Parts: sequence; structure tokens; C-alpha cells
Amino acid sequence: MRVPRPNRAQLGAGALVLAALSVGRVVTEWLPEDPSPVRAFERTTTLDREVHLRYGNLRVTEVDGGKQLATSTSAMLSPGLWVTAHVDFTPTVDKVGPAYAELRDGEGRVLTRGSRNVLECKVINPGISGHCLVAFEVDPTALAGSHLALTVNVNDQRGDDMAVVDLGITPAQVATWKARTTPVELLMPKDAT
Amino acid sequence: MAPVGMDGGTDSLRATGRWGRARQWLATLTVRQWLLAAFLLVLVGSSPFGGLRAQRAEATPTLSVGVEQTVAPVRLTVTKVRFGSDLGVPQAAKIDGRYVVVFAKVTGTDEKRSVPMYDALRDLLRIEQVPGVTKPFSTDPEPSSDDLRPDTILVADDAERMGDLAPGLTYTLAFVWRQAPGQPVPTSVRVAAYSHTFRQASIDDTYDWRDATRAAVGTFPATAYEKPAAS
Amino acid sequence: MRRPTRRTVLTIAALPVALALALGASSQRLVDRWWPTFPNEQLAAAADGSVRLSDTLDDAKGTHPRVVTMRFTSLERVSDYQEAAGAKTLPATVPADQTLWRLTLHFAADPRTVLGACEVQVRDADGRQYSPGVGDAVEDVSEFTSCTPPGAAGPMAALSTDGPDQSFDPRPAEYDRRYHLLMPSGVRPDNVRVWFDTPLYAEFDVTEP
Repeated sequence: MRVPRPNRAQLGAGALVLAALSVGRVVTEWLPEDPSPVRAFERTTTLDREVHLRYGNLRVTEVDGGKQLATSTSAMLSPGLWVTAHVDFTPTVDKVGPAYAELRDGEGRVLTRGSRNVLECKVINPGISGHCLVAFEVDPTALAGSHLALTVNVNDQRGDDMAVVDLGITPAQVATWKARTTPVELLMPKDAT
Repeated sequence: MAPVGMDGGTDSLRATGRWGRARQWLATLTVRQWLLAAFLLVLVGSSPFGGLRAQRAEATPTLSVGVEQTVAPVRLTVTKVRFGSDLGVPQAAKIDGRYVVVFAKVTGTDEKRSVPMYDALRDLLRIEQVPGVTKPFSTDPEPSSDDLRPDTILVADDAERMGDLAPGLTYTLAFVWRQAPGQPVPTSVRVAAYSHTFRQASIDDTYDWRDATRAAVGTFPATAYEKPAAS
Repeated sequence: MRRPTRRTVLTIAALPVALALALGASSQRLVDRWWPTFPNEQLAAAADGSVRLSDTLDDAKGTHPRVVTMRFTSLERVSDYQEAAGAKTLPATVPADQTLWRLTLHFAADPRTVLGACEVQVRDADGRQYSPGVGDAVEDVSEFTSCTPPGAAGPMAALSTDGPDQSFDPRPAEYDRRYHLLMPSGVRPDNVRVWFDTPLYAEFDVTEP
């Protein structure tokens, strides 16, 4: 078996292929490394200040915390702290409510909801004020400065509005919550419709 | 690429019968085609045995009671192994068979985000060679327990189901499997811990903890579950 | 320098076409996942205003034809809750600035047909979408959207290939189905949409009550 000697055109083509591959490599390294280069449109706000989103208006009204959490279905004890939030949400387009929640702690770490943290919403129809309950289990050392992020699509948060709310938690508050011996109650308000 | 017979075309005149024709055809293969065929043969031949992937390493680190091991993405300390037909909590009430429970302290090592229940935490531990373990939601004993997910993972402090593991927090978790009725008591249980890698899928663009690797293993004595005294 | 060959010219001319094809192929998610999951193919209405849906429903046992005729009957403001004509009337405590509406649709389908799940929406002229639901206005009532009479849904989709055919109570060949909706006072309903499997949907204009 004889190996044919490549001619100039073949060598040139080979060089071009290699050059294209290197360019591809450079482009890949230039792209952001973040898992999701297409992100949500983050609308930032603070405690008690309403934020207008594509699908509705949202306001976090109340933040609380403690080692024990009591909801309508369970009592849970955290090795860290539970932080809870009451959220008013009025849909404007269709009957949707926040279905995705994450907590970004003071160190910028992202706490996903999973099945133990709480997100429960009661939403009727556009134009009617609804209500959500939120609870996250957090490392107390990083709780101050936490932000709560909420949006409507649980599977894909990209390309849609996301409320990012500064919960205004101070180290003094965290100390009070750590010392607290009574459970934090998280219940749907009776007058919420 | 026109295949040409290695020893010319005269063979074709003599080739009679099935074997002769096969020999004639084989003679037309080039070296390259032979190599390709050999490669395919290795692929097909090895696939029933797991393909050409690296096999389980024999010498994995040892898990033992009270000793911390890092099994990405968590730090893990197995504290005890228990069995019993009633764990005294609604999430693991009395059953006809038997629960096999591995208690372990677990801390996330990911600096950026929670360790998800699906699919990192749920696939962290396996109990090996325990007879008659059932699949989650099933009652039929499986031939091998080595690859069975726990039925449920509970937080030992409040007996509620565990969710995603927040960074910076350490939980004592109960990894609960079920044994079908009539199976022998597991007096010693081999526990294997699997590490995972956070990477993008090669088919879609999703990131997840993938590539479970048996990273540590240890055999623990199992004793009957003692209910905490009612207080 | 040589003049480019015919082949070179053709190859370069084909590049934009290949690029367009590649971009088109990458829109696969839009075509396969997003577009068909929304109601965006309106069914034609007959002269009498009814809409006939004729498609198929897939379940574990295969593909079944589904033919159903739908008609808008009424949409009116109400002050109480009544599941069906002749059923018990329940009092409603409607919050101020909200209005309770009752939507009635008429369905006709072979009682042996598996109808499956459906969605019903009332829409206003701005395209806001309102779904059935009474919140806390009526006690012990949870509205869930279906297009079959309460308690008489008829045959249901098979969940496994070998299981027996499952069925609720037999469904009449024709019936009215009522929905109750809470909407902010001042909303003027414009149309009603009904769909079983997207993207096909029926739309009925609402005449001012």
C-alpha cells in the first residue's frame, strides 16, 4: 500500500481547516462561561416597593425569620434559619403567578427552591390582587443582604421579566431571628382573594 | 475508492459456491476497510460489557462511621445504619417489609448554588448487596440493590422530605430504602457514595450534576431502629 | 492569477443559501416546542355560530378520532353559583370591585368519544385572558376547567396499553357546561376561547349582555 503524496491544493485545504478550527476555538473562549448566557430581564426593587413586570405587578410586603417554620401543612426545623416573605402579586395579562423562586444570599450564592423551601401562590385573574408565600432555608452568616428573585416560568427563566427584590435584611435582624424560640408562621391571609 | 482484488482478477473464474464467493469478496477489501471492520468488531463486542469506558476503579476510598469524605458536590459523614418496619413518622410509617436507613451528615461544597435533590442528592448514596430492596413506588423485590435510588430522603431533625441543599448548611439526612416483606435482616450494609460533575450536556445546553462515579465505599453494621423517646 | 472555475463560483454562490438553511434549522425549537403549544390556529365557525372540532386524541392504546361541536350559549353577570341548571344554588360573597360571571357553553359529541382535557378562557378587547375560578367567593367549591358535565365525563384516556378501559359516568350526547369566573368589575368580555389540544382553538364572540 502506497501513501500518495499530497499536492499543494490538498495541503492548502488542510491548513484552512486547521485555521477554521482555531478561529472557532478563539470564538468559544470569548463567549461568556455562565451556564446561561441568555438571562432573564431582571427588574430590581426593594421591600414594600411595587415592581411592574410583563405579566403583573409584584410587591414584597413582609419579611420574617427564625429557626422553626410552621405552614398550613408542616412544621420544619432548619439547621440555619428560615426566612419568609409575603408577596402581593396582581397578574395583568392572564392567570399566572410566580412559579419560580430563588434566593441570592449576601455572598451572592444562589439557593434554589427544591421541594423543602416554600413558594405557594393564590392567583385569581388579571386585575385581581393575589398573594404568595415564600420561605427559604438559609445559612445565617450570609443572610444579611439577601435578594429574592421571582418569575412565572418554573422551567425556563430566560427571556422574560424577573423580579429581584432586596429584602433589606440587616445583621441585627439576623441576630434577633437566631435568638427566636417561637416558630415563624407562614399562612395565607384570610382576606386574600 | 474502487476496491481492487489483492491478487488480481483471475480468482473470480475459480470462485464457485458460497465459500468461494465470500473469499473472493474478502480479497477485494483494502487494508483500510479491514481496520475499520476490526474497530467496529471491538465496539460491538465490548458494548455488552459497558463499552470502552473505564471500568470501576477497584481501590475506592473507604467510608466509615464518623469519618468525613468529600464526594463532590458534598462533604459526607455516615453516622449510622438502621433497619425497622416503623420509623414512627408519617413519611416512614409502619410497613409490612422493612426500612433500611443510612443516616449521614451532608454539607454542600458548591460555592455558588444549592446542591439539587434532582439529580445530585438523590443519587449520592446506594446500598449494595442488600437482598430484596424495592424500587421507589414499587413493592417487587429487585435482584440487586446496587443501583436503586432511596425511596425518600428525610431531614432527621423534623422528618420532612429533604429538598435542595442550601450552601453553608449541614443537615443530618436519613436516606430511606425499603425491603420487601420476608427478606433477611441486613445486619451489615455496604454503602457506596457517588460523586458527580457539574457540566453541560453534549446534546442540549443544560447544565446539571452528571457522570455519577462510585467514589467511596464502606461496610457498616446495621442495628434495629430505636425510636427517639417521646418527649 | 487563474480565473475562478465554474465550481468555485457555484460554491460561493451556494454559501448564503447554506447559511439561510442553517439558521432555519436552528429555529427548530421555535417550530417544535413554542409554536404548537399555544392556541394559534382558529377553527372556522359554521353559519349558526357553532364550531366543529375534528381531530385525534392519542392515549396509551393508540390514536382515537375526536369530533365535538361547540357553541357559545351565554355569558352573564350573576350573584350566586349554580353548577348546572337545576343544581343547588350556592351563595357567593363577591368582593367589592369584582364581578362574578357565569359562562355557558354547549357541547355535542358521541358519548363514546374520549374528550380529554380542555381549556376555556374569556378574553377582553385588550387580549387579557380570564380563567374559570371563584377564589374564596363561594365556599367549598373548586372550579376546575373541563369540557364535560360535572360527574359525567364519560370515557377517559387510557393510561396503559393493557389496563381496562376507564370511564366516568356516561356522558350525554349533548349538554350545557357552566363556568364561573371572577373578574375585576369594569372588564368587558370580548370573546371566549376553547381548545382541547393546541394549536387548534374555537373562538366565540361575546355579545354585550
